[in-house]
This record gives sequence, C-alpha cells and structure tokens, in this order.
Amino acid sequence: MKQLIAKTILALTLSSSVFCLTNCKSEDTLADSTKKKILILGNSAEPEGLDPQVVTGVTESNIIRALFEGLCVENPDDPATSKPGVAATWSSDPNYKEWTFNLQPDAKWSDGVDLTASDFEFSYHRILHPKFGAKYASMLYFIRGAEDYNKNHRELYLIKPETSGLVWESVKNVNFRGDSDIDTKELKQTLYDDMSDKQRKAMHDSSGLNNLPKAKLISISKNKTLFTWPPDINPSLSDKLLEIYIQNADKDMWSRSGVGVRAVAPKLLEISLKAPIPFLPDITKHYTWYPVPKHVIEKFGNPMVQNYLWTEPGSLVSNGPFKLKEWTMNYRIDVESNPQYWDAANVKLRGVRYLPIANPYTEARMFFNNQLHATDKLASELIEYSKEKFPKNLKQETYLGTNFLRFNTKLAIFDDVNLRKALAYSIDSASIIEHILKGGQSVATGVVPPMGDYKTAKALEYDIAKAKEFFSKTKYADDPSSLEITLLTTDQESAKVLAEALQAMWKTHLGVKVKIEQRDWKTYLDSMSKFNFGIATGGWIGDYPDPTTFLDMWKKGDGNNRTGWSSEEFEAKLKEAETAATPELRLQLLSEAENLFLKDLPIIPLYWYTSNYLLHESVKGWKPSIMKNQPYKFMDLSE
Amino acid sequence: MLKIIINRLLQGIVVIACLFTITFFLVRKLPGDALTSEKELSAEAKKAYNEKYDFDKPVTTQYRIAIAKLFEGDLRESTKTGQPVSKIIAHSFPTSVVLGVTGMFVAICIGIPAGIISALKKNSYIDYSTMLIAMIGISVPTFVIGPLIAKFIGSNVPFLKVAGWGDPFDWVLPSITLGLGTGAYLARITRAGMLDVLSQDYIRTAQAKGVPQQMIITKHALKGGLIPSIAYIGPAFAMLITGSFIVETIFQAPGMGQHFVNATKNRDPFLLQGIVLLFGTLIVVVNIASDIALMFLNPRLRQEENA
Repeated sequence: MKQLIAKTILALTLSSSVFCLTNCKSEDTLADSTKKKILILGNSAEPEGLDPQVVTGVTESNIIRALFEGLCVENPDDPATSKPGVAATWSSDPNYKEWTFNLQPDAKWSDGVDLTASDFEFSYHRILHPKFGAKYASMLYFIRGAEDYNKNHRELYLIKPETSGLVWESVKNVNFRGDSDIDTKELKQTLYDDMSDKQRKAMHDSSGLNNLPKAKLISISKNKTLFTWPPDINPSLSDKLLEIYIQNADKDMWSRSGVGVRAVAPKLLEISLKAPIPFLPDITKHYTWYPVPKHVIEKFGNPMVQNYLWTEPGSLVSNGPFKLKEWTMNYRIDVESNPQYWDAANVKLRGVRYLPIANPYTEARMFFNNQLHATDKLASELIEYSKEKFPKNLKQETYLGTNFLRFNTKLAIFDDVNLRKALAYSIDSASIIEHILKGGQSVATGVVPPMGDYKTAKALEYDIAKAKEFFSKTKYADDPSSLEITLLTTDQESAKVLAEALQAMWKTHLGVKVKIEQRDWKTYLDSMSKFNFGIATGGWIGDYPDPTTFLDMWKKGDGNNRTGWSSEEFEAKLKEAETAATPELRLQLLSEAENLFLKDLPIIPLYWYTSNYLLHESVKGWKPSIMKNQPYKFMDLSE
Repeated sequence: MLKIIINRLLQGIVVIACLFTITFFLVRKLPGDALTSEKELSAEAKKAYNEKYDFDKPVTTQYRIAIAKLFEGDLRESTKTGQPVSKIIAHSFPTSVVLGVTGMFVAICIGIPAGIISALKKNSYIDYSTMLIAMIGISVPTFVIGPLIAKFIGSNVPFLKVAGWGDPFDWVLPSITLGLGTGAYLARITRAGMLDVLSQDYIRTAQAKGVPQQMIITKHALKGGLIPSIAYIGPAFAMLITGSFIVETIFQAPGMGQHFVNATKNRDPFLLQGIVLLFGTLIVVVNIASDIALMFLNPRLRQEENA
C-alpha cells in the first residue's frame, strides 16, 4: 500500500514536471524579442493608471507616450523643435497667443473612429472640470480662462449684469472663493447635522459661495447668519445672489467660461492663451495635453468623474502608435502596433513590453542577463561596474532637473540671507558628484538647468573664504557651535550619504552642528508642507523645456514653494516676462528673475540631474532626451 | 474537541476585528496622506478626492462606513490607482501562495532531513556542520542571499532567470531564497524534537528488544519528534505567504508583499486594510489548523485541553 502511494506521488511529480516543461509558456529571450521587434523596458513601478488626465508620474508617462499622441511629438534629431503629432501643421499669431492646429486628415482612434478637434475640446474640458479633480490640471493653465474654470471661480460667470442683473462692484466683497485661513480640521470631525450654527458658519466661510453645494446654499438662504456677509451687502442683494447660486448650483460653467479651446472644424483646433507662449508646441507633448476618447469614456458613466474602467485592456482606445494588449498587475504591460495610427507605415517596432521593476539592482541584473533592452535607471553603486563591463551600454545624459536644499525661511535663523549664503558657499558639489553620486551630474550654479538659448545663471560656487565672510556677518560668528541646524531628508540610503556629506562640510568649514532627520517619503513631504523643518533636501524635474517650469514655483502661495520665501520684485519680473514682446526679451527677463531669486537664495542648488541607464546595442533610433520622453515611433530593433 | 475549535474560532474573530480597527485608526494617524505628493495638488483636486473616499467626514463616520462596507463584502478601492482592493488581492494573492507553498516545500525538504540526520548523528561532525549551516541560514537575511543566488545560479543555469515570473522555472530561485531561512530554523527544531524523543524510555526499550534502528526511527521516534516542527510549520507557512516582500522585489514576482509595503508607504488606507484583513485571517486560520493538527498527533494535548 505504502509503495503504491509512493509510486503515485512520484508519477504525479514527474508528469507535472513534464507538463510544465512542455506546456508552460516560456518567456521570450531578448534575441527573440529583438527579432519580433518587441522592445522590453524596465519601468520602475506599477503605473497608477493609464488615464493621461489622472496620472502624474514618469512611470505612467512612459506607457502613455506609446498609447497616445498629442498635437506635437518630440523630434529625436533636434530636441529644440517638434514634429507633427495629431497636428499636421500649426501656426500662431505674431504674439504667440492665438494658435491654430490643423489635425492629420487620417488621425483615428485605435477602434477606427475618426479623431476630431472636438475630442481635444472634450479632453481639455474633462481635465479642467473642477469636480474631476485632475492632479495635473495646472499644466493647461496656459490656456485663457482655464485656471478660473478649474478653480471653480463661478462668480466670474454668474455675476454679469446681462444675465443676473447684478453688477460686480456691488458684490465684489462677498466671500466667493473661500477663506483658507479658517482651520476646519477640527470641524471635519463633526457631522454637518450635528454642528452648531457657529460651526456651520465657519464651514461655509471656509468654502466660499462658489464651493457650496445646493443644500447648503438653501440652508443659508433660510438662515442668513450661517454665512459671513460683508457690511455693504443688503438682504435683498444677498437674496438675489443666493437665488442665482442655487439656480446654478449643479451646472457646469464650461460653456460660459470662455476657456480658449475651440473645435472650429472637424480637423481644425484653435487655442487661445492667456499670455504669449512661443513654446506651446513643446508643451503639447506633455500627456496632460493628449486627447482622450469621448465616445469610449462616455460608455462608462459620467465622463467628468474619474473612472479607471475605460483604461482596462479590451476597453482602452488610444490614438498613438501602439494600443494596449495586456496589463497584468505588478507583472507587465504589453502594447502592440496600432494599425489605425495615422503614421502606422513608419512605425518600426511591433510592440513594447514594460516591466514594473522597483528594485534597481534587480533591474540591472536583468539587463546584464539579457532580459531587458533598457533599464529605467541605474543605481550609483553600479555605475563604475557598468563603465568597466558594459561601456557601450551605459548612458549618462542630461536630465532636465535640479537638485537643491530648501531653507525654511519662516524660521528666524534662516531669515538671515548671510547664513543661507554661508551654508551655500561651503558646499563642495563637485566633490559630492565625484565621490557620492558618480553619475556625471553637473554642479548647479543656478536653479534653471542649462537649456536652449537661456542664459544659465552663474550665481554659486564652492568658496570657503566667501562662506566664512558671510558667516562672520551672522550672529553665530562668535560661537558657531551655538547653531544647530536640522537637515530633513528621505529614508533612502543615498539620501543619508548625501546628508552626511553636507553635515561634514558645514561642520568642517563653519563649525556648525547639523542634525540629520531621515523620514519616509510621505512624512518627509508632510513635514515640508507644514514647515516642520530647518533645511530639507529636494529636487525638481521640469515639465517642459522652459525656464518658467523652474521659476514659477517660487511665487508666493505656490504649493511647491515650501520655503516661506517670496519677493514682489521677482514676481513682477516673471509677470513682465509673460508679456515680453520677443522670445529673446522674454528669456532675458526670466534670467533677471532667476538672478533676483538667487540673490536671496531661499534654496541652495546642488547639482543638475543626469539620467543614468543601460541601453542594449540592438535598440536603434533611441536618442538622448532631456525630458526622458523618447518617442517610440522612431525606434527600431535589429541584431 | 468541537468546543475547543469553536472557542479558537471566536478568539480568531476578535483578533481580526481588533486588527481591522487598529489598522483603520493607525493608518489615518500617519503623517501625510495619499494626496501628499512632491508636486503640490490644487485645492480642487484634494476636495474631489476627499469627497470620493469620504475623507471629508469625521473619522468615526468613516469607521462606520468601513464596517458597513465590509459586511457588504466591499473592500473599496486603492486610493492610489482607483482599482478595487478585491481585484488587486485576487491578482496578487495566487503568486504569494505559490511562493509560500514552494518556499515551504524547500524548507521542509531541507529542514526536516537535516534535523533528523543531525539528531541521529548527535555531536558528530555531520551534526556540527549541519547546525552551523542552519545557523548561517537563520542569520543571513534574504536580501543578501537572494541577490547572491540570482547572480551565481540565475545567470549561470540556462533555464533559470535572474528575475521574472513567466514560467514555473521562475519559481525555483525565489522559493529557495524564501525557504532557506525557514528550512534552517526547521532543522534546529526537528533536531531538538528528535533528540528529546530519542532519549525517552520507550525508545530505549525498543532498542533493548532489538528492534532495527530504521524501524525505531520511522515508527516510533518520528511521530513524537516531529511535533514541534509541525507546530512551527503552520505559522511559518503563513509568514512565508505574508512576508515575501523582499523576495518579490529581488525576483520581480507579482505577489502581495509589494502591495502591503507600498500601501503603507503610499498611505493607501483601503488597500492596507484589505491586505491586513486577509493576512490576519490567514494567520488565524493557519494557527487554528496547526492547533487542531497537533491535537490529533498528541493525545495528551487533547486531554489537557478538555481538562
């Protein structure tokens, strides 16, 4: 009996092994994939989604770039220019404010439906819809009226004498947009029904009339004391105002907003900008500007509500050189040729496979073992090894980004520009690059990395004498050890090494004590946004190749500023650049703005990024790109 | 017996309820939330998101909603991807189970024979060297063993890959990495258990009666000697399934460990709760199963429990 059982187990094991050997689908080797023209890429993480209007990351952008196409695409041979995408041709008025895009006559969605200018109009409406909650809607704020519509500034559309009978002057003091100074954190722990009238009033005041739902507007109309009215508003005026707001409470303001997007003809799109933007074609390469298929999204419910269902395999319809074939969570995403693509004849790759490899060492091992055509990144510890063993495959290219340290200028110690400068001049960035980062980065002498015709700032250098001179002007000059700085950084090992290097430099050159605080990513970001730090490490990757992507963030009230610093002079310069007569003058004004910023030094630029990765010899047509958004349609694979 | 099982099940339900509640409140106490990002989001985006996931409501209300949804069988969506938590679990749990089962298979294949041989050859070089290797196996973490195995075995054996999860050959290296530590621990437990039994009177009696050594081991010693190992295997199995995060990232296996760790890092409350609920249930069930198995193997335990 026992022998029988043993034999049965043996037989089962053997047969299952044979079954697996013969039937289980084996992964393709890299050579096979090259032959089949399937590009296999490491792609850092599982994407958050594939809706171009919902996601925000580089990981997602890598896949979306294969599936969708914007008005223009990157020109791999000359990154300063753009190639036609969905738009066959484009032109602007001499002021770069009114743009016309003629769409490709053959532009179609992957299901064969014609792609028209209305699709763009719908797409921009969707991403800007205030209730849609697109995280990256601000990328479209270049369009006239887009920001007001997205921020739900309803008073601009509702208070018009011709429609409402109300004159702006008479109601201009009403709290339409809400009061962010009212702390509602505690209030949110109480249900609206259980709140006292005082609490309700605080809630309403914090939201402002624009953001109150119909039910709350009605309760205010019944009890006017539930909202703070300015003294110059009489009861009949507030009644009238509430009546208008209640009538329009659930209405979309798109048609009244006058946002500058118009489908003039099926294949003709007009875009009006709020200020002259000569580089608009560059901006349209960003995925937030891509069209999404109205006819598909509408099948899955209200298109103005985020819904991932339309991006599932089998449902997703796209307009790029590839279409979605398979998406297995945390495993891989496969895209294949899209025969409906307007330029399908010139697309050489048959597909792209994305592997979400979070661990950079695993990714490198897979490349070394011929499982990948390209890695997404390369750990700094592996750069030397790759230089020696895989010199042809190692790529070190400029990447449009700046690494820097933020000062919390709200703290009394960092309100002193001399201390900020002393700390800045005592950092030897070149040594950090050579000994720690090892990725060929360059020392940052300004906040805007080198790009195009922009004059790169040369405001910073490693100069101990200058550092000491500035330090001598601070109140800590006599007793440097009385100053203890906290340096907030992330929990990555590389972040710790960098922080320790800075700690040592400041201790050696200035005698200052530095306490390093390593926090996990979200805690680090949370501490920064609450100004719970002294100095914090940070970085910024440009969204488009223009200095404004590195300068606008330092405006007062910008959520990405996080330094507490602001300057009217700096903002005036930026404003002036918006309306500059020529592109040259515009760049000149932006450069002046940057120099004003660097004079105050609320941040210390450390280095300009490079992108380090490994690329297989069989990949052809993969050109360096400072935005790391190589278009797949121009690539090929050959032995 | 039935009374004991019911009692254990009730205890298990209380444990799971506590786990759910603690996770629910703790994750909301963490600094930052799912919307905390490097690029600051607009107030409108935050508002839309908070309304969607009820984060604009008081925490106690959110808890009530969570309990109500749970009883409806709705684990809600991942706040990061918008995908249903149940779908994410359904996609990744099978991989974790495969990793757990194959890892346990490796552990048993290595641990039990090594432990038995060590016990039989007590205080010999075989014993010392086996236990030394076991000690190394316990001490060296998977993030050291994994890459070494990938580099030296994965890149040199033709049908193996350094990472990836396409065919059953891809299970080999992760399961070895995952199973080694457990196997080493199992070897030590088996050795101790066997030594304990081998010194019992009834074994000596059997030896005195002239029963062949092989029969003494298979018929008498193993049954008692393996009880500690079996008590360990249950919870260890649950640990292998739930704790495979490092092995998953080293070998690019699409299991649940990554979701578990990332859900915490991303402050993704519903996904974290869903996974904690599943892992908690799994650990409770496996422990109960292990208790029951032990009661069957050891009559004394049954009597003690009944008393």
